[in-house]
Amino acid sequence: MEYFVVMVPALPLFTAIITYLFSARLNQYVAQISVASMLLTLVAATALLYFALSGTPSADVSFGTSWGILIFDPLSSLMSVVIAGISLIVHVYSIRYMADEEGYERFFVLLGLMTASLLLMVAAGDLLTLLTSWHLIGILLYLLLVQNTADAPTQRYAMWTMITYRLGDLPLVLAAAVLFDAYGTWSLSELFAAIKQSPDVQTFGGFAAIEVAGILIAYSAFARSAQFLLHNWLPYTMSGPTPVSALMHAGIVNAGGFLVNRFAPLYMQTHDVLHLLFIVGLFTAIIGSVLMLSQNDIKKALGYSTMGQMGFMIMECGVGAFSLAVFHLIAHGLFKGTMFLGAGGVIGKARGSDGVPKHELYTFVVERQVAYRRQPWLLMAAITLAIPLLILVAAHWLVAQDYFQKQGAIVLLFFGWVTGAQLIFASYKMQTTNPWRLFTMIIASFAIVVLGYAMISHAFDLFLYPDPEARNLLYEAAGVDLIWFDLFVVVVTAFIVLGWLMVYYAGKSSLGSQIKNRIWVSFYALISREFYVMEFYSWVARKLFKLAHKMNTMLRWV
Amino acid sequence: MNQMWWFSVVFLPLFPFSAVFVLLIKMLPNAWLRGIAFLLWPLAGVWLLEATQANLPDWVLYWALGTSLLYAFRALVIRELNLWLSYIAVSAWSILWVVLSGSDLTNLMLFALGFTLPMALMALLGGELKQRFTAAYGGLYGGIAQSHPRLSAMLVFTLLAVIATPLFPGFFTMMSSIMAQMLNSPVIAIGLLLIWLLWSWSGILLLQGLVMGPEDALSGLTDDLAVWRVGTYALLLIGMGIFGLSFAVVF
Repeated sequence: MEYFVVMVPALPLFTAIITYLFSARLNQYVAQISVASMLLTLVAATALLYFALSGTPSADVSFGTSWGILIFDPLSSLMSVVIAGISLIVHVYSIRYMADEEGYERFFVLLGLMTASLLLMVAAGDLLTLLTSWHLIGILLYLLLVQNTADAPTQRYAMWTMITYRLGDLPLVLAAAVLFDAYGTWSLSELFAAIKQSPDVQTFGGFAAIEVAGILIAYSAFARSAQFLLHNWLPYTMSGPTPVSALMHAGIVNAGGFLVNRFAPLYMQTHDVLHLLFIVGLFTAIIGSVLMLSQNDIKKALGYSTMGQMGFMIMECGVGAFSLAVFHLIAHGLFKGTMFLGAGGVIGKARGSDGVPKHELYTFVVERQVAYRRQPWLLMAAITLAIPLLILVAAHWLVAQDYFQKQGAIVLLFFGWVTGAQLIFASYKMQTTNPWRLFTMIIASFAIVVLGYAMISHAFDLFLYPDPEARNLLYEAAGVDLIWFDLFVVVVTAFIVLGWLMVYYAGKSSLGSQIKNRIWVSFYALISREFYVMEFYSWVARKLFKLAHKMNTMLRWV
Repeated sequence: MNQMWWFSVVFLPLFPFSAVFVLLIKMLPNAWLRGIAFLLWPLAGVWLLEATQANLPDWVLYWALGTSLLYAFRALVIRELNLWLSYIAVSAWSILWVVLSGSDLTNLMLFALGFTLPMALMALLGGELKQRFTAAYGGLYGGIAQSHPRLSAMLVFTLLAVIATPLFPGFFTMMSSIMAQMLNSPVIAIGLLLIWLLWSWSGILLLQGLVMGPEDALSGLTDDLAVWRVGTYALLLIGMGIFGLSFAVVF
């Protein structure tokens, strides 16, 4: 088993070094060698996952130093398979896609190094190794993004990515320093055992070390996972090669969710940090989704979609559903990677014909033609609200009866309910020859999705956090006072109902329609400028450059 | 004897004495001399400190941090490679005063070398640029990634070493400094992180000006680095990487 643990990150690293050294002689064979190496890596990672699934206990693989420790546990084995799998697909896709590009060999070398760094990150068993791999990923991503060295926008957006990643890297250094200072070890296993033993160790200013470190780690995760205010790089890095976009959206931005999960034993003992994750994640999910809807560029829309999904993933951590976040990041990685790799083909085909069959869904969604005859309002409202709730409750009750004791689970159920209700609500006005057949199909699909989601996420829960006490501790750490919880539910419900009412009355003339239009246009302007966040950052950067120039002139450039 | 540490403020430069080193780099006529200066200057400072065995007053720490921050910030708008390098050198070497408060002098010499080795190599690469394009100025020509891929690769990796990315020694020096200050003064630790961020920012800006961009202006030039020179530079970089990893043992 130890052999496989070392082999997984070492194989792509070794291949990258060899192919770099002999790239002049190997030429196009660099790609074939890289793919073969990735295939072997995937086999080794799958073997590790098999060990984990068959109950092999977690272990550290150490080389006798305080750094360079590799960890074998369910999380690292699962993530290794995901990364190796996605990387293999990206490698295979790149063989032909990058064939006519400059720096073909360099691209594969960097791809190999990136995969090795990602695999090292998920297997890092000490803070130093984790930090090193975390930093390396940012640098390698920059080098991959600037593959086209002649394109100015590519350079600019790659730099944004690099700076944002650096902004996220550095708090992790502070977190490591705080934790080492408080507990005197680099080893993650020893650290988590020490935290469990004495969670109240204080750091500077009399603050609890785990609370401070928890916030700093969360901040690093926010930068890596493009949370609001640290998100601008994500939708703009589309000018990089498509395989890099696929790898980035499928395997790199997800690292925030992984990091939070890696430090789950720390977050179990915190009191308020998870609330921060919930708020930031929720806000990002909403903003990302709103921005996605306003894009007319498929890749940029995908970028904002990733932002929304990452927000949801962080929010899941914020409610204590850590394993669900891992399931989410894997599912998202797979579907988003597929979408990116397919985006070029779709754009190419759409140039000839949009290929959308003009049936009921098209006339409803694109042409916005609503049904002439509608179903009874009260009946539809009852179906809209009751059926998703019934399905959700039944599905979750089937997998775990104590599920409803946890606040975080209720929040997720609530979001699931709203989504289901939204789905039925949206189809209420759709033109169709047989509306009841349509609703039955929608409800059946929804039930299958919910049941599948509940069962898989429960299986993830049992695999990643087999100790029920640990699972409960995570939900407890995410809990809030009942008053605040109720207030939150009421506020969110009010917003959703308001949104539904706005949609229902949209297009109907009323006395306030002019004012409404003006507000709507202003809101749209705000979204189309992406909340002026980038303008603000550019303004700050210009001011800083001006100040630096002024200082240099004053000091006569010495 | 204890007050002799004051001489070190020139060699581990603190503002305004830092101007001496920047002027020296401006005046030195060739890359080899600049490389030697980058290598030896801070070592002289460390040697002086070793000789005096002085107990430094606390305010020196803030003076050093201020100097480092000032030069890191000023480097943001510098596009001339040697000047940029001298600013980053001043910024990095000032941090050695911060390291000093949490480390013994043996480690300090190692850390000084960790910072200076990539800088000396970068100075040599600056000479390669000057030799080919008469100036090592970002934004003046650009696009050498396509016309001179080997030289560009060496520039990229060396610059990454200068701005203290892993696995180069600067990374571990910065880690060590932050570790040393975390509990005593979180403000200094945060200041160090800010300096680190500024290095990255200015480094990437310089790199984009030098290496990236369309190659139109340079088309037809075929004087890329010879393979044996690339091999030598690469070996030095690998050596620095191994040296950097050996730093991790300090932890």
